[in-house]
This record gives sequence, C-alpha cells and structure tokens, in this order.
Amino acid sequence: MGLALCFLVFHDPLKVTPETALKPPSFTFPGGTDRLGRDVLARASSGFKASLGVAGTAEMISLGASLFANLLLLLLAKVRLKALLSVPLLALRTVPPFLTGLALAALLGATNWGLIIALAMISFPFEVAVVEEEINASIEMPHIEGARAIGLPFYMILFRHVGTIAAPRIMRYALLDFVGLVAFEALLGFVGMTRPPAPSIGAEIYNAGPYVATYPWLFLVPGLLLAAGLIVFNAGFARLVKGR
Amino acid sequence: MLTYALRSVFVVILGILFSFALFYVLPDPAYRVAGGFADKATVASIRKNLHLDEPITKRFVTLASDTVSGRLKSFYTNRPVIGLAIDKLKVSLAVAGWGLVFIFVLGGFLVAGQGMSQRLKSWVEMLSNTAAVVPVFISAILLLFASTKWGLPKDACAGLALAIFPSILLSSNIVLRLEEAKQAPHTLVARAFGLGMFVMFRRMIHELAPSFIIISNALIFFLIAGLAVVEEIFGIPGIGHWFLQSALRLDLPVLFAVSVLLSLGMVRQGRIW
Repeated sequence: MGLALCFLVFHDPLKVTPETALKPPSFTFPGGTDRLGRDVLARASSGFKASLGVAGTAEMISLGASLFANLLLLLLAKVRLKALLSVPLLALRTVPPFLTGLALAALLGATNWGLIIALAMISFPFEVAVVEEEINASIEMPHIEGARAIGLPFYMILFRHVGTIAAPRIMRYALLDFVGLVAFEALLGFVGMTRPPAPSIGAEIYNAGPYVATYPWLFLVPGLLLAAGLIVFNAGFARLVKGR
Repeated sequence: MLTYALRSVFVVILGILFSFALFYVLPDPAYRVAGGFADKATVASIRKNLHLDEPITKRFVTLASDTVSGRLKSFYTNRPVIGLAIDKLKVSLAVAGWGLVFIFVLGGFLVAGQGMSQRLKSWVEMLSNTAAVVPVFISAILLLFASTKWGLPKDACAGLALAIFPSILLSSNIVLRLEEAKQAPHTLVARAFGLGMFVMFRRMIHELAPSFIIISNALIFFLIAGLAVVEEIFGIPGIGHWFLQSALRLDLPVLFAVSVLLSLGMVRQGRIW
C-alpha cells in the first residue's frame, strides 16, 4: 500500500503548462496543479518515491558500516584496544545531525548520492550503538557463554550464534530507522536541500506554505501523501516486527 | 571514575573537532556574508575580518578560547553569541511554555480518557506508534493556517504543534506504567490489606517517578528538535529559528557554540554511555 503511493503519476511531474496553472483537483489533475501548471500529485508521488530510494540506500549503507564497525570493535576488544574506535564513534554522536547533513550535502553537491551519504552519516553513529547493544546482549546469553567456555572459535560463535540472535533485532531497528530517514530526507528538502529539477516532497510542502489559505491543495496533497506514506510504512514494519 | 572522566573529556574534544572539521567542508562563509554580487577584493577583506584566512590550528584555538571566555561573536550581527542566545531564548520560552502546557493538558486528557474507554486506549496506542513518524512541519503548517484564518495566538498554535506527539507519548507511557504499578505484588498486598486511596496514590506516584524522568528527557529532546522547524514555519525569531538560519547562512561561531553545548549536554545526560 505504501509503495502504491509512489505510482500516482498520471502526468509528467516536470512538464510546465502555464495555461493550466493553479487548477483545483479534478479528474484530469487529481491533485490539482501548481503555479507552473505542473501536476501536484505527480510531483508529490515522484518526490516520495525519490525519498524512499534515497533513505533506503542510506539505511543499507549505514547498516553495513555499523556491522563492519562492530566487527572491528569486537576484534579490538580482544586486544584491549576497543577505546581506539569506541571513543571516536561516541564523539560522532555529539555532532549535530543537521550540521552533518548540511556539510555533506554541500561537499557532495545536490545529487542523490550527496543526500544518501549525508543521511547515512547521520544514521551511522546511532545505528552503531544499537548494533553494539544487541551484540553485547546476545553475547551475555548463557548458551553463548557456554560456547565460549568450551572453546568454540570466535568467528563461529559470532556468525552462527550471536548473528542469528542479534540479526532479527537489528533488522527491526533498521526498518524503523528507515522510516525516520525518509522523514529526515523530507525535512532536508523542506529547508532547501533539493535535487533540482527532480521534485522533492519536502520542498513541495515548503513552497506551498504561503498558499495554504488560497490554494490548499498545494500543501494538502504532498503533506497528506507524506504523512500517509510514513504511517503506512511505520505501521507495516511495526506489525512485521511484532509478528516476529 | 577517572577513566569515565577521561573518556568524557576525549569524547567532548573529539566531538568538537569533528564539528570543526565539518566547517571546512561547508562552502566559504565569506561569500554568504558578502552577498551574491560581491567582488573578490570585498570577499578577501571579509575573510580577513572574520579571521577565515588564518591557519586551521589558530582558528580552532581562537574559536575555543572565545567560546570559553564568552567573547565569541556572530559573523552577521557582530554581537556576542551568548547575548544573542539569551535574547532568542526569551522568545522561544513563550513557545516552549505553551508547548509544555499543551503537553500536560492533552496528555492529562488522554490519560483520563484511556482510563475511561478501552477504545480510546487502543487509538492512543496506535497513534503513539504512528504519529512519531509524521514530520512536525505538516501539523505546524496546518496550525499556521488556523492561526491566520481565525486570529489565534501564534505562540499558542506553535506550542500546540510542538506538543501533539509528546503528549501522546507521555500519556501512553503513563498508562503503561500505571497498569504495571497496579499489578505489582506490593500494590496487590496493599489493596488486600485495604489501605486508603491516598496511600495507594502516593505509592503509584513513587512507581511512576523514574519513568517520568526518562520520558521528560525524550520530551525535552522533542521540544528542542521541534522548535527549529516550528519557529521557522511560524516566523518566530526564537533560538530554533536562529540556529537553523545560522546553519543555512554558515554563521560558524554560532554553529561552533552549539556543537560545544551539544557535546557537553550529551555527556552530562549520559546519553552516549
């Protein structure tokens, strides 16, 4: 259902037709049109689809990097040098996320990859902590302690036992974090970090702000689509997590 | 204790260094200060005035010592950051105050309602799971519309936009803890002995206190994070709007001061341990 919101594109979202400017919702334009005659629903839907793609890729990068960082932490802990990595990782969490997003988006340019790396960097320090907590909780379980006591190899305990316990819990966090990243991507678009000419749902909502009273569909269509999309994804993932 | 203190100091210093390193990734602030049509000579003189042409180590030491001594000045207003922050905070306190009032009023109604109706309880549970993901800017724009159309006070509407999610979170957590407290063995024993309602109520408050402290941390986080967005939408010149504008205008001294405060705050709150 959430994915269906990405395919409500009945017209080209970039096509400018001044003669149909600021038309209210109708059969031809179910979401109405904006000041340049572009289909608002098509723009909101494409923007949401782009947000999902950017946030999904960022979440995968962040999750992969978190798993790798935790593997390094475990190896460093074996030689009592864990602080070498854990202190910088803790310090990364004190950097304001908005500053990270702004700096990386400026460095990498207004591209999809610029936003992906910025979002991944925002999510990474917190995801590392969650993965570490889950791994530590798994390691403390009695059967893992037993496996360590009988001298099973480190890699076997890690991948065969700890991995199977921690993986579902980590995936739960990753799914819910993904929804948070979609909302953060919209927020970055809202404050002007867009990828023109591609539509951004956050920018659509921001640009519609002054017209809420006169042309309400300009705000309501992208606003409700974003809210509905996030709620549907969050509820779906929450149910999936509960089911497990 | 010594290890904890050392780790805290290292984390704060590294956090500030990371934030400072990001300043070098941002575009040159001199161009922003000078405006779009400034010539190279003007930009160069601004860079000199703002000490942006100094070596990296000297800039860091200057920023750090100015922060400690309270002499850190904004690029744009040339006023001390601390003075500016206090002025902006006064404006934000009105919004945050309304936010807190609405959190407790809405939260109180929701707690009472959940006690009376099972259906309302399931709705609030569902809302608390889903409303977290709806960006605050959507409710803020709708309330701005209501404020302009019906002449409602701007600060109160901004406070309500801030309060919607935290009040749902607060009420669902309180109800959960109350149910746990009701089923706790000592409560059951107290009820069996026929202790008065006042004693039971006092016991419940005692049970709720730790979780309330944890929730209040989350509430403060939501209030601070939401302030920037809400103030931006309502055009309220508070601390959130100021920080967002400083980030977008690359006012590095303000960003540096915020990074220092954030690092210290996170260590003090124990959030990073």
